[in-house]
Formats: sequence, structure tokens, C-alpha cells
Amino acid sequence: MVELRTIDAHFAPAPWPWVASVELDGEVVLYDEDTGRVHLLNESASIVWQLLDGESTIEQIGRDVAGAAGVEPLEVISQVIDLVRMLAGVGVIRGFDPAAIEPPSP
Amino acid sequence: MLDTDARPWGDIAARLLEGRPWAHRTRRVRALGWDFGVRTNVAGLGERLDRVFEAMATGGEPAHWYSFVVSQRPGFQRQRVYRDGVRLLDTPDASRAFLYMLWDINQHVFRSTDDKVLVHASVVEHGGRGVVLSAPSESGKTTLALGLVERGLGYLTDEAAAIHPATGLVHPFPKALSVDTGAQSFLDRYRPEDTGIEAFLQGQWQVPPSSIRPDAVATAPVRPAWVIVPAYAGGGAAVTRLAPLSRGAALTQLMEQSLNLHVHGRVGFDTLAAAVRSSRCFRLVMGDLPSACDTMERMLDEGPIDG
Repeated sequence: MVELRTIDAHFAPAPWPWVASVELDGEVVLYDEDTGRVHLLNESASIVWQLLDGESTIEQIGRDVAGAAGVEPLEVISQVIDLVRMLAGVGVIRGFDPAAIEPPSP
Repeated sequence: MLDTDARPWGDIAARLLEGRPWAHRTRRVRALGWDFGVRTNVAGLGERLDRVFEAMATGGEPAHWYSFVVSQRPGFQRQRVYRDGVRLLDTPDASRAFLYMLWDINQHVFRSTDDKVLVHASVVEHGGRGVVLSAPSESGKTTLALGLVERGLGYLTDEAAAIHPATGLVHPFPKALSVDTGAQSFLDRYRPEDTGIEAFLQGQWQVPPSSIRPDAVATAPVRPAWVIVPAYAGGGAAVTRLAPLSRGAALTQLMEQSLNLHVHGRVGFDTLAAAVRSSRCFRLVMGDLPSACDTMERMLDEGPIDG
């Protein structure tokens, strides 16, 4: 079993290869060919999604986004961690299979 | 004793069906990739089916035959439905048998149309471009499509938008519009004549497009230019509202209503993404039909994004 809390600022997330995405007017739609599930990301999540390359860590992504937006990096990094955990929880991040994810402790 | 290996029961049943005195054989129907006809011993039912599929009727012998056999004696009634001699259903419930046959026809239309991405939707045509009305069942798609066709738009389908991945064009599948009981009170002008077959239809009206307008059917494929997600608000004091829908939300809607995305995978995803990219997208909350059609006409008059 994998725990989502293992995802921290040092993690370098990447999508599974079978997850297709398209950007439409700033929003990204994800299509998981393996499960047939569809996910719609809002504009800020879409910006982060397009930076997930398996090399950049969440900290680097957070700092890049914060720099571009002119906001505090720590707050953005925390939000990116939450987003990546959510994406991993629905099975679109490499290394995370929803069937093998440990449910959060009560 | 019959040797079932040498003479499969299916063959025997098919031969017995061939020898029956049918009261009606429909014309051959080519519905997207499915080529079929229906024969039945109830003349009125066969004539109604000819009307349901009239816009897709063609000449020649069907590749597949449905047989709808009603056995009726005092105190006894059974319906048997066959496809190519294979029995699909044997039931005392007349409407269940008929609706099952229509369901099976739809399933075979979908399965035999793997060259196109299918989305559960109504589609009408305006100025040579497609208006895709996509939403879950009982959201008002059929009612809205019918109202727009009454006002002069062309009719492509009330069942499935069939989009070719290579061209992006929506192909017609113009079977009769299925008006459920919930919408019949304000569409009373389409109430079918009672010909003694209503027990088969379970209250559902099948409205042939030619009964809306003689030239209602759009025979040529169209490129989608509008994606509308309708939702019936329940009439009464409800007010019709048209609100912009993001293309991402519209794509999500089309994907959720897709009937064969598992067949096309990423190609299907790209096909639907291209369809919304070329479209103006809206969510339509419908108060009543006239105001919904007025609102749609005003929006359509503004033209497509690339027009």
C-alpha cells in the first residue's frame, strides 16, 4: 500500500502515460484511458498540471508558480502538495494506483 | 430425435419464422452501421415502426431481420422477439417486448458504428452547422430539439451524435423522436392516433421528424458549432436562462455522455476536444419550451465562432 502523505515538497510528480490531457481556454481536461474516468481541472490546477514532468519537484513547481504570480512560495507549495495528493488519489500520477492507496487515518 | 449438432436449433427457428405469414414487413433501414428490418404479425405495429425509421428507410433486402411475434388468445398473450431467428425475449408484457426490441436495435446501431465516436445527444442543424444538445436522460433534449425543428432547424438525431474522427462531422441518425410521458402535456399536438397498439408503447410517443415538418431531416453531415447542455427547470415560475459554459466543462459533459469512448480511447478524446474547440458552449436552464426556443434562436443568430 502507498500513502498519499508520502507526497511532499521533494516529490517530482509525473502523469501516468495513459492519462491524456487537453487544454481548453485555460482549463485542462484529463482522460484516463485505463479507467475511462474524466477530470476537469480549474485554471490554477491546470497551470500546475502542465508543469508536472517527473523531474521538477513540487517545491520547484511551487516556487516557479509563486514567482510568476508574485505571491508567497510556502503557501503555493502547500497548495501544490494538496493538488498532487488529490491527483494521485484519483489515479493520474505515476506511482500511485488508487486501488493500492492507503486510506487516510481517521 | 433431432441431431442438434447437425441442425442447430437457431437454424430451425429461423426457418420456422421464414414460413410465417407476416402481416407487415418494414422497409429496409440503414441506421448508421446497422442494416435491418422488422417483420411482425401485428399490422398496426409494423406500420408504426415504418414511421419510426422512415427517415433511414432504403431499398433492398435487410442484412438482419427482427421478428416480433404476438400470440394472442382469450386470457393468453405472449410476445416473442427474435433477431435473425435467435429468440431474444419471450414475455407476456407487450410494452417490455417492444421497448426491448427498440433497445436492441439501438445497441446494434452503436456496436456497428465503431468508425464514429458516439455521444448520447440530440443534434439539430442551423445554417449548415450542428447544434449538439447533450445531457443525461429526461433533461429536456428531445423537447428542445423538437421545438427547434418546429422553428425551421434541421433534424439529425434524438439518440446519438455520431462524430467521425477524421472529419469531425456529425452524421445523421434521424430515428423518430421519443417523447416520454413527462413532456407530453405540452406537446399534445404530437399525440399519436390510437390504432390499438398503444399497449406496446408504454405511453412513449415516437414522433417521426416528417410529422414536425415534411422537410425536417438534415441529410448531410454537419460540423458542430454549438454545444448546449440543457436542463429542464420544471416549468411554472421557472425562468429560462442561458449561461456560458467553459469548453472544459462542455468536453467533460460530452465524454460522460459518450457511448463508445472505450472503443476509441485517445482518438475519441481528441475528436470530442476538437468538437468543443470549434463550438460555442452554453448551459440552458429551460423554463418553458417557447422561451427556451426564443433564447436559443437569439443565441444562434449571433452565429458560430468561426462563421
